[in-house]
Amino acid sequence: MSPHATTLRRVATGKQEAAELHDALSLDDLLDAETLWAPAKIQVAKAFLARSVAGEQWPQSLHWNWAEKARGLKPYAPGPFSAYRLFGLRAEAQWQGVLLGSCVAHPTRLAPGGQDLVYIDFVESAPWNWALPAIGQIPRFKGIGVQLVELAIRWSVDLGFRGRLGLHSLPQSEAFYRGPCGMTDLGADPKAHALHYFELDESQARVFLGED
Amino acid sequence: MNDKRTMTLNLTPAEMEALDALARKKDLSKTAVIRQALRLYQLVDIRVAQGEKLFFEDELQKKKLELMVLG
Repeated sequence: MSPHATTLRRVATGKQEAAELHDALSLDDLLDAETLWAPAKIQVAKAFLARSVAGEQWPQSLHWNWAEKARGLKPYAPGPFSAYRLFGLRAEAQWQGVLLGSCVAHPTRLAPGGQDLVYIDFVESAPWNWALPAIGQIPRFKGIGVQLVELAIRWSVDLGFRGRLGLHSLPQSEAFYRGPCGMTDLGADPKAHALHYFELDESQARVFLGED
Repeated sequence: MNDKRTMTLNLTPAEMEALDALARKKDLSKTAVIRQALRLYQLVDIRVAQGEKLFFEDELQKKKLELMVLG
């Protein structure tokens, strides 16, 4: 699919600006994202260190490395026909957010259980889009996560999974999945570092997509 | 996903029954079941080719069984 036009809200001005949704990122795209995101993360870390911010307030995805993820994904050739697929949101000629999803080996846990869903392995916005009050950083753009999650739900619909979605959330992101995404929190998963597991069923997906 | 090709698939009655049953159980169309099976087969093939093994585990009965996948 060719890029799909969308908009993102620039926080500083409140204005909507042009952006593009991409539903088949290449591994090179991931490397492009990491090329810009890694130095930005180092700047964030420097600011947190300079202010002696407590560890629990540090962004929990600060250590993620999309170049490393690209290396692991290489054999699977992510795309519409693979078990893995990469989505992204682009504005100002930069990746503003990236999502890695997979569509096999993750059965639903909500009743009746055992059905296929799209599992979000990782989703992250660019470091300059993080709200970091501890260092006085306001996000450049808002609304990235919701649009990326919507792409994953639409992939689930395309696969015949009726929008079903699952993921394990970092603690700092739980409110996002409970609130704006309307997912069910199934609690801490002892097999996933006690991260909370969230699931979106068919009816919740319809609500998310505005079809109810 | 828009560029699709059509093929005829000949299945025995037993295979068709199995496909029907899976489609009902998984709440998927028969085409979606076959696509999922293909993705899963591809995923397993890649991981086995990398030297990994496939296991089924029953936590309650503390059983772990390696599934032999022929290369």
